[in-house]
Amino acid sequence: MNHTNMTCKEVYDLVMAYLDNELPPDERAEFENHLYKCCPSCGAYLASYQETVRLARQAGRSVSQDDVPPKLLQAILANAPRDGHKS
Amino acid sequence: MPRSQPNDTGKPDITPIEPTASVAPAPADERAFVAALRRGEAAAYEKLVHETTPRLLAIARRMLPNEDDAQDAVQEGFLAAFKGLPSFDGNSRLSTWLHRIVVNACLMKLRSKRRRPERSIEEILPKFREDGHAWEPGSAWQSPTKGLEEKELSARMLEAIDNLPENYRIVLVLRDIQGLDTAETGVIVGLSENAVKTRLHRARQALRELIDARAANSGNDGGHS
Repeated sequence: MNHTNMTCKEVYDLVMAYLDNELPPDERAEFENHLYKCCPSCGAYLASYQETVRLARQAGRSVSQDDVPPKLLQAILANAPRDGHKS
Repeated sequence: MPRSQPNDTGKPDITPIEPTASVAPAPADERAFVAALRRGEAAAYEKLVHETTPRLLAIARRMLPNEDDAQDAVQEGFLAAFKGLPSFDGNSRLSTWLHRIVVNACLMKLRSKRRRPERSIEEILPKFREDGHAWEPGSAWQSPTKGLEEKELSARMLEAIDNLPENYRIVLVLRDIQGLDTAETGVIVGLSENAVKTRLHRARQALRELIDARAANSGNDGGHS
């Protein structure tokens, strides 16, 4: 496989910075050159990284945040300072 | 579908991965709210507890495998917060401060118990040859989505997240699951923003390995190399 000066390891290390638009222009150009002209495998890595983040977020949304036991809320509030009694 | 799809130029469309939510009310409202808490107004405490407990419990549940421990950590966190409210300096958002207290309560609980042995992050991360090229092509990875219903897929993802080393799991939970930004996450876990970014990236990389469908099909939890 014909690689540029940037290695796969360097590309893997920079994936998040690339997706967050935090790479300086010359480094971004080298990153994209590696991905799109030299190493499709790293392009696949980038896509799978994004897929992982998407699935993690989707899984997080699947967890209901409404299933808080009423007893827990009552127990927490029982410890709250009351009117006129500052914490 | 992956977010990077080839377009006419042959390059994937790249969308920056942004935090998904803000957890705090506007600062101006917050000052008044904190003042109400300090006056001991019951309504303010009701609002605080009802609005923040779901999120805090969701974090505790990802950090602690036992439901009772998760609820205890949230309760202990609130208790500490109520006691500490007079010393809350307002340098961070109230919600960030509360998150930090509950995360610390979770960590104390984790460390007080005999934990299952954790795999090191290095063991999970992608491997490279001496010349810096990957041992295996990125295209070999298989998404876990195939053949799984959404509910099963989410359960598989959460199980994989639970298998990340603790220091990486908490950062991924706060950033990618709870949608907090890098700065807030740093305040909560006591890391610089750069350290949060490094840890998040490695957590995502490790999670990618753990959810590789090839690992599930071969009966292990991602230890392929």
